[in-house]
Amino acid sequence: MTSQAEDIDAIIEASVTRLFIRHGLVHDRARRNVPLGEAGYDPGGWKEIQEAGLTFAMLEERHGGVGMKNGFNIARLAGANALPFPLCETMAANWLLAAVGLEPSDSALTLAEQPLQLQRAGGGWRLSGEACDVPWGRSCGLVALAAYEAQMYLIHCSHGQFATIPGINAAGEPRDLCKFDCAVTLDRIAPVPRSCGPQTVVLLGAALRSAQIAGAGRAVLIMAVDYARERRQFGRAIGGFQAVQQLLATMATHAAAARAAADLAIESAADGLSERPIAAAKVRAGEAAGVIAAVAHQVVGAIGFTREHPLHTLTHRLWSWRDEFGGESAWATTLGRQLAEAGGAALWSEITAI
Amino acid sequence: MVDPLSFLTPPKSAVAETLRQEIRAFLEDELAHRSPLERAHSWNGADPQFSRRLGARGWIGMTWPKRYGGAERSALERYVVIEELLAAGAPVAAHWIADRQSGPTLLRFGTQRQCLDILPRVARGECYFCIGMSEPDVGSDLAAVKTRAVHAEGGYRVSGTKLWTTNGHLAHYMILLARTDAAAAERHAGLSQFVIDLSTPGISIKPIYVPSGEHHFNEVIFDDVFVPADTLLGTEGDGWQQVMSELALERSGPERFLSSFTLFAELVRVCGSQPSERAALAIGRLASHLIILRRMSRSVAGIRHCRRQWSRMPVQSSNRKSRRLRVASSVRAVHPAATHTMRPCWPTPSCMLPPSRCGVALGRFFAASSRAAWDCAKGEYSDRFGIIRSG
Repeated sequence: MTSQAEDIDAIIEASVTRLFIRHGLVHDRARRNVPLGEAGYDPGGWKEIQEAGLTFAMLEERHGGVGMKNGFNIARLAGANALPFPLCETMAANWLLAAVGLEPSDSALTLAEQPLQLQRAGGGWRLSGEACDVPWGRSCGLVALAAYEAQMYLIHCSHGQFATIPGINAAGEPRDLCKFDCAVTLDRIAPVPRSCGPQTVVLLGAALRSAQIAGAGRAVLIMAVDYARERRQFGRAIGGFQAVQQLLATMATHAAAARAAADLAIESAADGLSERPIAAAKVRAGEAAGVIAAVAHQVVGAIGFTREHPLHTLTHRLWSWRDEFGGESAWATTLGRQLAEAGGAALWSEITAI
Repeated sequence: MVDPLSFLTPPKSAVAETLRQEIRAFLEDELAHRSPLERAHSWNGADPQFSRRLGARGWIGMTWPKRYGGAERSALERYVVIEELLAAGAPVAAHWIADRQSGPTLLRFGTQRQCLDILPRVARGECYFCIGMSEPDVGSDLAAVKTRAVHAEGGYRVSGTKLWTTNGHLAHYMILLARTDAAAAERHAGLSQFVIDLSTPGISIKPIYVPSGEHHFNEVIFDDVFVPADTLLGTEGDGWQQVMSELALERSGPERFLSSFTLFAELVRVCGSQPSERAALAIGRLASHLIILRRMSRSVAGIRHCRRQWSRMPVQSSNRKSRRLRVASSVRAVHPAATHTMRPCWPTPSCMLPPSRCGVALGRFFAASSRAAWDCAKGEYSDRFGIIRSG
């Protein structure tokens, strides 16, 4: 990487971090107590994020973004700050729209993990089906895949075109059931290149969640380290006890692995959305999420188990995100099946190609 | 300020990938009749003839200067060679330690004469080393070494016992850590390293067998052994810094997660092309750990390739250093090393990895004196936690 590219990344990271500290849930106790509201997010905060241009961040620079890699790094920072907005989904959805030549959207967007059903109707199209656990489905436009006669299409539905039944994940983030039965105008549908299959959205989402897990995992580790340095028992900081140091070291190894996994997923996303690296990354990030969250609660003890303390805003997200866009078991089974089919003699070749 | 938990993207190298195909072809030929059980010995399997043939191809001491028998190839190329050797279960044990750490330690601290005398033979796969650190009473607490090297006319007299000496029975040399100054004020001072010719009179090597009956480990006893002054490696009294530097070379490499690769490949073979769901899940989980560990390991190789962080530098920081240097050196010393000793394992009921020397070191790093590093790394939390942002 050129040092100029590194400088740009550092500038983006610094300015985005400042914005996310203000709007995330980790630092501001008051924000944590704000009810979700109708949209499932605070419209004022979302406006500031839009004004910063972040909703288009994954697009290439000539289209107003900072590139896919930087976009995913922004997702990682969003994870680190427990950002309560559909920013990651909007960035990814806009990337998909631009990739197929549709108009990116000004407003909040979300993704349907699995393809929906598409029929021809009159001179146009009709979209039907259901998508569950849609992030902020209740208040966003939605981007989905659907197949028709062996061709995959990307469809952009506006908020209001589909019915939603609200729900939440373990972190209280909106995860809604969406039911589709609507017409699709020609400016809202485009064929997807042959290289992109029905897994395109779930792969993109898995890469996003891996990045968010990496960010949140690191933030949790820092919280636990800080606590261990400040909390005193038996006449010393609890971080002075080797047992606690071992716990922190365990967390750190998983946080490092999660970051490496996220980087692998991000590179794959930016380079053709290859399934195997993203599968491996999501498996590893998911496992790391579980260990980090559990061990952090052990270290931070009772105070970390209060609503008032920010730890839960991150640990609950870690627990939620590891299951979204494919959990560890699903991706591990997919990866394992592919490697088994290639056979033991080919295993090393397969691994080095990932 | 580098995030101590992040690993730079491993660099791509077309040259290294071409080399990969070359070594694969070599190994297919060499190891055609090697059974999975033999391959599973991995870097515990010793075959001096194989080491010589590998040396003849220029694949030992690859990154060393040509004047010392090396090939001046990049760390990335070396990495490709060693990971292919390990994945194939090649019998690399005889030369492994010499190539990985003894040779580089000589390059770092040795005299030109020591290098000229020894390194070309190592690079040819003819000269093998073992490690002289652990003792019966000295494992994790390396500073407690008891082996003494007292001054004598023209050299030193060495007495003590080294233990768990891998392939000491095959090695020609040992890099020995011994105490040269018993009166040193601080336990990390007064240590020195020596390049000991194991054929020196007074050294006895006794085998230690592991439960499988295999012989890798040894007990090496020094009974008032005279060694000439020119066996001193580096500077007398600098043994601690030198041995810490040597130990860093033992970390992060692919052998840390490829030792069991043959077993993994056999598992995949045995599970067949249509495995059960549980088998597929197990394979996928193992693969995911392997892939991520490999990425981190290759990243460290990439750093070595750029020759940024691994030149002569004392690993243990002293109080005299400025805060920023202390931060930088402790981050460099601990971060890639400690995080790479984690190996894939099934979670125990409490989701804890077994304690390890490096795990605790990393924990101490985080929990104790390296506040500055964390301040830098978490600058964005300064407002919330009231920690002063560091420069």
